[in-house]
Amino acid sequence: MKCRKCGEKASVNMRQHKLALCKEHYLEWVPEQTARFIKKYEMFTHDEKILVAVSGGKDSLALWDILNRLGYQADGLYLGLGIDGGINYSHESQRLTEKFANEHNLKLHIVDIEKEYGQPIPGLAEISHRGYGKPCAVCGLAKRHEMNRIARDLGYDVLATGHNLDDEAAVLFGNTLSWSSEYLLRQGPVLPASDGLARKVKPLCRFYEREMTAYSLARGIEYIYEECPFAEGSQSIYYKELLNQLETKRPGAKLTFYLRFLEARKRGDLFIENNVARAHLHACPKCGQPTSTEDLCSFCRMIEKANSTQAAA
Amino acid sequence: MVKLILREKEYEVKPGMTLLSALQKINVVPESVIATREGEMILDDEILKDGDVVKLIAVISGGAGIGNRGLGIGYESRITNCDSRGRCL
Repeated sequence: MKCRKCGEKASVNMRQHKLALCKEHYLEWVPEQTARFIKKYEMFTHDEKILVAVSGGKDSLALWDILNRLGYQADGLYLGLGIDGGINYSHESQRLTEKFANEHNLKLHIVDIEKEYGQPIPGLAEISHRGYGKPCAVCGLAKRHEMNRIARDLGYDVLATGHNLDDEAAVLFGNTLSWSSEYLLRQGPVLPASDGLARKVKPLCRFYEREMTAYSLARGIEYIYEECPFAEGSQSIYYKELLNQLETKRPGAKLTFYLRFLEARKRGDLFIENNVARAHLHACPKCGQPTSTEDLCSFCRMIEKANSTQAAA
Repeated sequence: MVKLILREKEYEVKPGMTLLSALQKINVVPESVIATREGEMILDDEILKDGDVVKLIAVISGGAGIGNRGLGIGYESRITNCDSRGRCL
Protein backbone atom coordinates (compact mmCIF):
# COMPACT_ATOMS: atom_id res chain seq x y z
CA MET A 1 0.00 0.00 0.00
CA LYS A 2 1.35 3.43 -0.98
CA CYS A 3 1.24 6.76 0.80
CA ARG A 4 -1.36 8.97 -0.84
CA LYS A 5 0.87 12.02 -0.52
CA CYS A 6 4.28 10.81 -1.72
CA GLY A 7 3.77 7.30 -3.14
CA GLU A 8 6.29 5.74 -0.75
CA LYS A 9 5.41 2.65 1.26
CA ALA A 10 2.55 3.44 3.68
CA SER A 11 2.85 2.79 7.42
CA VAL A 12 -0.69 3.62 8.49
CA ASN A 13 -3.93 2.78 6.70
CA MET A 14 -7.14 4.45 7.83
CA ARG A 15 -9.86 2.51 6.07
CA GLN A 16 -12.60 4.81 7.38
CA HIS A 17 -10.96 7.70 5.50
CA LYS A 18 -9.71 5.57 2.57
CA LEU A 19 -6.35 7.10 3.39
CA ALA A 20 -2.94 5.45 3.69
CA LEU A 21 0.11 7.48 4.69
CA CYS A 22 3.81 6.94 5.22
CA LYS A 23 5.25 7.61 8.67
CA GLU A 24 6.48 11.09 7.77
CA HIS A 25 3.19 12.26 6.29
CA TYR A 26 1.18 10.60 9.06
CA LEU A 27 3.12 12.61 11.63
CA GLU A 28 2.16 15.76 9.72
CA TRP A 29 -1.46 14.72 9.22
CA VAL A 30 -2.31 14.04 12.89
CA PRO A 31 -1.48 17.55 14.21
CA GLU A 32 -3.18 19.12 11.17
CA GLN A 33 -6.37 17.21 11.91
CA THR A 34 -6.14 17.97 15.64
CA ALA A 35 -5.85 21.68 14.86
CA ARG A 36 -8.91 21.36 12.64
CA PHE A 37 -10.96 19.69 15.41
CA ILE A 38 -9.85 22.26 18.00
CA LYS A 39 -11.09 25.00 15.68
CA LYS A 40 -14.25 23.22 14.55
CA TYR A 41 -15.47 22.54 18.09
CA GLU A 42 -14.13 25.88 19.41
CA MET A 43 -12.11 24.16 22.11
CA PHE A 44 -9.51 26.86 22.86
CA THR A 45 -7.23 29.45 21.30
CA HIS A 46 -3.48 30.02 21.36
CA ASP A 47 -4.03 32.74 23.99
CA GLU A 48 -5.52 30.36 26.53
CA LYS A 49 -3.70 28.29 29.16
CA ILE A 50 -4.34 24.57 28.80
CA LEU A 51 -3.94 21.90 31.45
CA VAL A 52 -3.48 18.45 29.91
CA ALA A 53 -4.41 15.49 32.08
CA VAL A 54 -1.58 13.01 31.50
CA SER A 55 -1.60 9.44 32.72
CA GLY A 56 1.55 8.09 31.08
CA GLY A 57 -0.62 6.29 28.51
CA LYS A 58 -0.40 6.65 24.75
CA ASP A 59 -3.37 8.99 24.28
CA SER A 60 -2.59 11.63 26.89
CA LEU A 61 1.11 11.75 26.07
CA ALA A 62 0.30 11.96 22.36
CA LEU A 63 -2.14 14.80 23.06
CA TRP A 64 0.46 16.70 25.07
CA ASP A 65 2.98 16.15 22.28
CA ILE A 66 0.58 17.36 19.58
CA LEU A 67 -0.49 20.48 21.50
CA ASN A 68 3.15 21.28 22.10
CA ARG A 69 3.95 20.83 18.40
CA LEU A 70 1.02 23.09 17.52
CA GLY A 71 2.43 25.82 19.77
CA TYR A 72 -0.23 25.84 22.49
CA GLN A 73 0.54 26.77 26.11
CA ALA A 74 -0.07 23.30 27.49
CA ASP A 75 1.13 22.16 30.90
CA GLY A 76 0.62 18.66 32.25
CA LEU A 77 -1.14 17.30 35.29
CA TYR A 78 -0.31 13.84 36.58
CA LEU A 79 -2.41 12.31 39.36
CA GLY A 80 -0.62 9.71 41.48
CA LEU A 81 -3.33 7.15 42.15
CA GLY A 82 -1.28 4.72 44.21
CA ILE A 83 -2.18 1.65 42.14
CA ASP A 84 0.32 -1.17 42.12
CA GLY A 85 -1.49 -4.26 40.84
CA GLY A 86 1.72 -6.28 40.89
CA ILE A 87 3.18 -4.25 38.02
CA ASN A 88 4.10 -1.07 39.84
CA TYR A 89 1.51 0.61 37.66
CA SER A 90 1.35 4.11 39.15
CA HIS A 91 5.07 4.32 39.76
CA GLU A 92 5.87 3.34 36.19
CA SER A 93 3.27 5.63 34.63
CA GLN A 94 4.60 8.56 36.67
CA ARG A 95 8.17 7.77 35.64
CA LEU A 96 7.22 7.77 31.95
CA THR A 97 5.23 10.99 32.29
CA GLU A 98 8.12 12.75 34.01
CA LYS A 99 10.52 11.43 31.40
CA PHE A 100 8.37 12.83 28.61
CA ALA A 101 8.05 16.21 30.36
CA ASN A 102 11.81 16.44 30.93
CA GLU A 103 12.69 15.43 27.39
CA HIS A 104 10.34 18.04 25.93
CA ASN A 105 11.02 20.68 28.56
CA LEU A 106 7.36 20.85 29.57
CA LYS A 107 5.84 21.91 32.88
CA LEU A 108 4.25 19.07 34.83
CA HIS A 109 2.16 19.29 38.00
CA ILE A 110 2.09 16.13 40.09
CA VAL A 111 -0.60 15.50 42.68
CA ASP A 112 -0.35 12.42 44.85
CA ILE A 113 -3.76 11.29 46.06
CA GLU A 114 -2.38 9.51 49.12
CA LYS A 115 -0.39 12.57 50.20
CA GLU A 116 -3.41 14.80 49.70
CA TYR A 117 -6.10 12.60 51.21
CA GLY A 118 -4.30 10.03 53.35
CA GLN A 119 -5.16 6.99 51.21
CA PRO A 120 -4.37 5.82 47.68
CA ILE A 121 -7.31 5.13 45.35
CA PRO A 122 -7.72 1.43 46.29
CA GLY A 123 -7.70 2.42 49.98
CA LEU A 124 -10.30 5.14 49.45
CA ALA A 125 -12.48 2.65 47.57
CA GLU A 126 -12.26 0.12 50.36
CA ILE A 127 -13.03 2.62 53.10
CA SER A 128 -15.89 4.28 51.25
CA HIS A 129 -17.45 0.95 50.08
CA ARG A 130 -18.07 2.43 46.65
CA GLY A 131 -17.79 0.55 43.38
CA TYR A 132 -18.73 -3.07 44.15
CA GLY A 133 -15.22 -4.26 45.00
CA LYS A 134 -13.48 -2.33 42.24
CA PRO A 135 -11.92 1.11 42.74
CA CYS A 136 -12.86 2.38 39.26
CA ALA A 137 -15.84 4.47 40.41
CA VAL A 138 -13.80 6.10 43.18
CA CYS A 139 -10.90 6.60 40.77
CA GLY A 140 -13.12 8.36 38.21
CA LEU A 141 -14.69 10.51 40.88
CA ALA A 142 -11.31 11.47 42.38
CA LYS A 143 -9.79 12.20 38.98
CA ARG A 144 -12.67 14.46 37.91
CA HIS A 145 -12.55 16.27 41.25
CA GLU A 146 -8.79 16.75 41.31
CA MET A 147 -8.42 17.70 37.66
CA ASN A 148 -11.06 20.37 38.09
CA ARG A 149 -9.58 21.59 41.37
CA ILE A 150 -6.07 22.00 39.95
CA ALA A 151 -7.32 23.62 36.74
CA ARG A 152 -9.37 26.12 38.75
CA ASP A 153 -6.80 26.78 41.52
CA LEU A 154 -3.91 27.29 39.11
CA GLY A 155 -5.88 29.51 36.77
CA TYR A 156 -6.03 27.34 33.66
CA ASP A 157 -8.65 28.23 31.07
CA VAL A 158 -9.31 24.72 29.94
CA LEU A 159 -8.70 21.11 30.88
CA ALA A 160 -7.79 18.77 28.00
CA THR A 161 -8.02 14.99 28.15
CA GLY A 162 -6.77 12.35 25.72
CA HIS A 163 -10.11 10.64 25.07
CA ASN A 164 -10.09 9.14 21.58
CA LEU A 165 -12.98 8.12 19.35
CA ASP A 166 -13.03 4.56 20.66
CA ASP A 167 -13.39 5.89 24.21
CA GLU A 168 -16.22 8.14 23.11
CA ALA A 169 -17.94 5.51 20.98
CA ALA A 170 -17.77 2.96 23.82
CA VAL A 171 -19.38 5.43 26.25
CA LEU A 172 -21.98 6.34 23.65
CA PHE A 173 -22.69 2.68 22.99
CA GLY A 174 -23.13 1.95 26.69
CA ASN A 175 -25.38 4.94 27.24
CA THR A 176 -27.43 4.05 24.17
CA LEU A 177 -27.91 0.48 25.33
CA SER A 178 -29.39 1.80 28.55
CA TRP A 179 -30.97 4.90 26.97
CA SER A 180 -29.32 7.09 29.56
CA SER A 181 -30.69 10.30 28.09
CA GLU A 182 -29.13 12.58 30.67
CA TYR A 183 -25.64 11.28 29.89
CA LEU A 184 -26.28 11.25 26.14
CA LEU A 185 -27.24 14.91 26.21
CA ARG A 186 -24.00 15.81 27.98
CA GLN A 187 -21.53 13.83 25.86
CA GLY A 188 -19.44 15.78 23.38
CA PRO A 189 -15.99 17.12 22.47
CA VAL A 190 -16.48 20.16 24.71
CA LEU A 191 -18.08 20.45 28.12
CA PRO A 192 -18.48 24.21 28.66
CA ALA A 193 -17.33 25.84 31.86
CA SER A 194 -19.99 26.41 34.46
CA ASP A 195 -19.99 27.60 38.07
CA GLY A 196 -16.89 26.10 39.66
CA LEU A 197 -16.25 23.75 36.76
CA ALA A 198 -13.45 24.27 34.25
CA ARG A 199 -14.13 23.86 30.52
CA LYS A 200 -13.23 20.33 29.46
CA VAL A 201 -12.17 19.41 25.94
CA LYS A 202 -11.24 16.25 24.05
CA PRO A 203 -9.09 17.24 21.06
CA LEU A 204 -8.45 13.59 20.02
CA CYS A 205 -12.11 12.61 20.01
CA ARG A 206 -12.15 11.95 16.26
CA PHE A 207 -9.06 9.76 16.10
CA TYR A 208 -9.36 6.01 16.44
CA GLU A 209 -7.47 4.46 19.33
CA ARG A 210 -5.45 2.60 16.72
CA GLU A 211 -4.39 5.88 15.16
CA MET A 212 -3.17 7.26 18.46
CA THR A 213 -1.16 4.10 19.06
CA ALA A 214 0.35 4.51 15.59
CA TYR A 215 1.14 8.16 16.34
CA SER A 216 2.89 7.31 19.62
CA LEU A 217 4.90 4.55 17.95
CA ALA A 218 5.86 6.73 15.01
CA ARG A 219 6.87 9.60 17.30
CA GLY A 220 8.85 7.28 19.56
CA ILE A 221 6.79 8.21 22.60
CA GLU A 222 7.48 5.79 25.43
CA TYR A 223 4.15 5.10 27.13
CA ILE A 224 2.86 2.62 29.66
CA TYR A 225 1.70 -0.33 27.58
CA GLU A 226 0.12 -2.23 30.41
CA GLU A 227 -3.04 -0.40 31.34
CA CYS A 228 -4.52 -0.12 34.79
CA PRO A 229 -4.75 -3.60 36.40
CA PHE A 230 -8.28 -2.82 37.54
CA ALA A 231 -9.42 -2.33 33.93
CA GLU A 232 -9.56 -6.11 33.41
CA GLY A 233 -12.98 -7.22 32.28
CA SER A 234 -14.36 -3.70 32.26
CA GLN A 235 -17.52 -2.95 30.35
CA SER A 236 -15.92 -0.19 28.30
CA ILE A 237 -13.24 -2.55 27.02
CA TYR A 238 -15.86 -5.10 26.08
CA TYR A 239 -17.78 -2.45 24.15
CA LYS A 240 -14.60 -1.39 22.39
CA GLU A 241 -14.02 -4.96 21.30
CA LEU A 242 -17.55 -5.29 19.99
CA LEU A 243 -17.22 -2.03 18.08
CA ASN A 244 -13.90 -3.16 16.61
CA GLN A 245 -15.51 -6.32 15.30
CA LEU A 246 -18.12 -4.13 13.65
CA GLU A 247 -15.44 -1.81 12.30
CA THR A 248 -13.54 -4.72 10.77
CA LYS A 249 -16.61 -5.66 8.71
CA ARG A 250 -17.85 -2.12 8.17
CA PRO A 251 -14.95 0.37 8.00
CA GLY A 252 -16.08 3.72 9.31
CA ALA A 253 -18.88 2.34 11.50
CA LYS A 254 -17.39 3.72 14.73
CA LEU A 255 -16.77 7.14 13.22
CA THR A 256 -20.27 7.32 11.75
CA PHE A 257 -21.82 6.20 15.03
CA TYR A 258 -20.11 9.01 16.93
CA LEU A 259 -20.35 11.79 14.34
CA ARG A 260 -24.03 11.19 13.56
CA PHE A 261 -24.71 11.33 17.28
CA LEU A 262 -22.89 14.67 17.56
CA GLU A 263 -24.84 16.01 14.59
CA ALA A 264 -28.16 14.89 16.04
CA ARG A 265 -27.27 16.41 19.39
CA LYS A 266 -26.29 19.70 17.78
CA ARG A 267 -29.54 19.83 15.83
CA GLY A 268 -31.44 19.16 19.03
CA ASP A 269 -32.84 15.93 17.67
CA LEU A 270 -32.28 13.85 20.78
CA PHE A 271 -35.09 13.23 23.22
CA ILE A 272 -37.15 16.30 22.49
CA GLU A 273 -40.90 16.14 22.59
CA ASN A 274 -41.18 18.41 19.56
CA ASN A 275 -39.64 15.65 17.50
CA VAL A 276 -42.75 13.60 18.05
CA ALA A 277 -44.82 16.28 16.38
CA ARG A 278 -42.26 16.59 13.63
CA ALA A 279 -42.48 12.87 13.08
CA HIS A 280 -46.21 13.20 12.28
CA LEU A 281 -47.07 11.36 9.09
CA HIS A 282 -48.96 12.79 6.13
CA ALA A 283 -50.90 11.03 3.43
CA CYS A 284 -49.07 10.80 0.12
CA PRO A 285 -51.06 12.89 -2.40
CA LYS A 286 -50.70 10.13 -4.99
CA CYS A 287 -51.15 6.78 -3.25
CA GLY A 288 -52.59 7.90 0.09
CA GLN A 289 -50.15 5.85 2.14
CA PRO A 290 -48.53 7.58 5.15
CA THR A 291 -45.26 9.43 4.57
CA SER A 292 -43.07 11.72 6.67
CA THR A 293 -43.02 14.44 4.00
CA GLU A 294 -45.95 16.52 2.82
CA ASP A 295 -45.06 15.68 -0.75
CA LEU A 296 -45.03 12.31 -2.52
CA CYS A 297 -43.93 9.28 -0.54
CA SER A 298 -40.55 7.70 -1.31
CA PHE A 299 -42.12 4.90 -3.35
CA CYS A 300 -44.13 7.25 -5.56
CA ARG A 301 -41.08 9.48 -6.04
CA MET A 302 -39.09 6.44 -7.13
CA ILE A 303 -41.77 5.33 -9.59
CA GLU A 304 -42.05 8.85 -10.98
CA LYS A 305 -38.33 9.00 -11.48
CA ALA A 306 -38.28 5.57 -13.13
CA ASN A 307 -41.13 6.58 -15.46
CA SER A 308 -39.47 9.84 -16.44
CA THR A 309 -36.17 8.07 -17.07
CA GLN A 310 -37.90 5.46 -19.26
CA ALA A 311 -39.77 8.15 -21.14
CA ALA A 312 -36.55 10.02 -21.84
CA ALA A 313 -34.78 6.89 -23.12
CA MET B 1 7.59 -20.12 9.91
CA VAL B 2 6.35 -16.69 10.90
CA LYS B 3 6.08 -15.83 14.56
CA LEU B 4 3.46 -13.39 15.85
CA ILE B 5 3.72 -12.10 19.40
CA LEU B 6 0.80 -10.54 21.25
CA ARG B 7 1.48 -9.62 24.87
CA GLU B 8 2.86 -12.81 26.42
CA LYS B 9 1.43 -15.13 23.75
CA GLU B 10 3.22 -16.43 20.69
CA TYR B 11 1.63 -17.80 17.53
CA GLU B 12 3.11 -19.38 14.41
CA VAL B 13 1.73 -19.24 10.91
CA LYS B 14 2.98 -20.37 7.54
CA PRO B 15 5.00 -17.87 5.49
CA GLY B 16 3.54 -16.46 2.29
CA MET B 17 0.26 -15.22 3.70
CA THR B 18 -0.67 -11.61 4.24
CA LEU B 19 -0.71 -10.05 7.67
CA LEU B 20 -4.51 -9.83 7.44
CA SER B 21 -4.79 -13.56 6.74
CA ALA B 22 -2.41 -14.32 9.61
CA LEU B 23 -4.47 -12.24 12.02
CA GLN B 24 -7.65 -13.98 10.88
CA LYS B 25 -5.91 -17.32 11.30
CA ILE B 26 -5.00 -16.62 14.90
CA ASN B 27 -8.39 -15.04 15.55
CA VAL B 28 -7.22 -11.54 16.36
CA VAL B 29 -9.42 -8.64 15.26
CA PRO B 30 -7.22 -6.53 12.96
CA GLU B 31 -8.70 -3.30 14.30
CA SER B 32 -7.46 -4.17 17.78
CA VAL B 33 -3.75 -4.32 17.01
CA ILE B 34 -0.92 -2.61 15.19
CA ALA B 35 1.70 -4.91 13.73
CA THR B 36 5.40 -4.09 13.71
CA ARG B 37 8.30 -5.94 12.14
CA GLU B 38 11.83 -4.90 13.07
CA GLY B 39 10.33 -1.85 14.75
CA GLU B 40 8.46 -0.64 11.66
CA MET B 41 4.70 -0.66 11.31
CA ILE B 42 3.37 -2.99 8.62
CA LEU B 43 -0.06 -3.06 7.00
CA ASP B 44 -2.65 -5.74 6.35
CA ASP B 45 -1.46 -6.44 2.79
CA GLU B 46 2.13 -7.17 3.84
CA ILE B 47 3.27 -10.65 2.77
CA LEU B 48 4.91 -12.41 5.70
CA LYS B 49 8.19 -14.17 5.00
CA ASP B 50 9.80 -17.17 6.60
CA GLY B 51 11.62 -16.11 9.77
CA ASP B 52 9.62 -12.91 10.24
CA VAL B 53 8.85 -11.97 13.83
CA VAL B 54 5.80 -9.74 14.01
CA LYS B 55 5.03 -7.93 17.24
CA LEU B 56 1.35 -7.15 17.67
CA ILE B 57 0.70 -4.11 19.79
CA ALA B 58 -2.70 -4.07 21.46
CA VAL B 59 -4.39 -0.73 20.93
CA ILE B 60 -7.30 -1.11 23.36
CA SER B 61 -6.54 0.42 26.71
CA GLY B 62 -6.92 -1.93 29.61
CA GLY B 63 -6.07 -5.40 30.77
CA ALA B 64 -2.56 -5.72 32.15
CA GLY B 65 -0.98 -9.04 31.35
CA ILE B 66 -4.24 -10.87 30.96
CA GLY B 67 -3.90 -14.01 28.88
CA ASN B 68 -6.93 -14.42 26.72
CA ARG B 69 -8.55 -11.13 27.50
CA GLY B 70 -9.72 -9.13 24.82
CA LEU B 71 -8.54 -8.90 21.30
CA GLY B 72 -10.14 -11.85 19.61
CA ILE B 73 -13.47 -12.63 18.07
CA GLY B 74 -14.72 -13.86 21.41
CA TYR B 75 -13.27 -14.51 24.80
CA GLU B 76 -13.23 -18.25 24.33
CA SER B 77 -12.87 -18.70 20.61
CA ARG B 78 -9.63 -16.87 20.00
CA ILE B 79 -7.37 -19.88 20.34
CA THR B 80 -9.85 -22.50 19.16
CA ASN B 81 -7.78 -23.62 16.18
CA CYS B 82 -4.40 -23.44 17.88
CA ASP B 83 -2.46 -25.98 19.83
CA SER B 84 -1.44 -25.55 23.44
CA ARG B 85 1.46 -23.31 22.44
CA GLY B 86 -0.82 -21.07 20.44
CA ARG B 87 0.47 -22.29 17.08
CA CYS B 88 -2.05 -22.09 14.26
CA LEU B 89 -0.81 -24.21 11.44
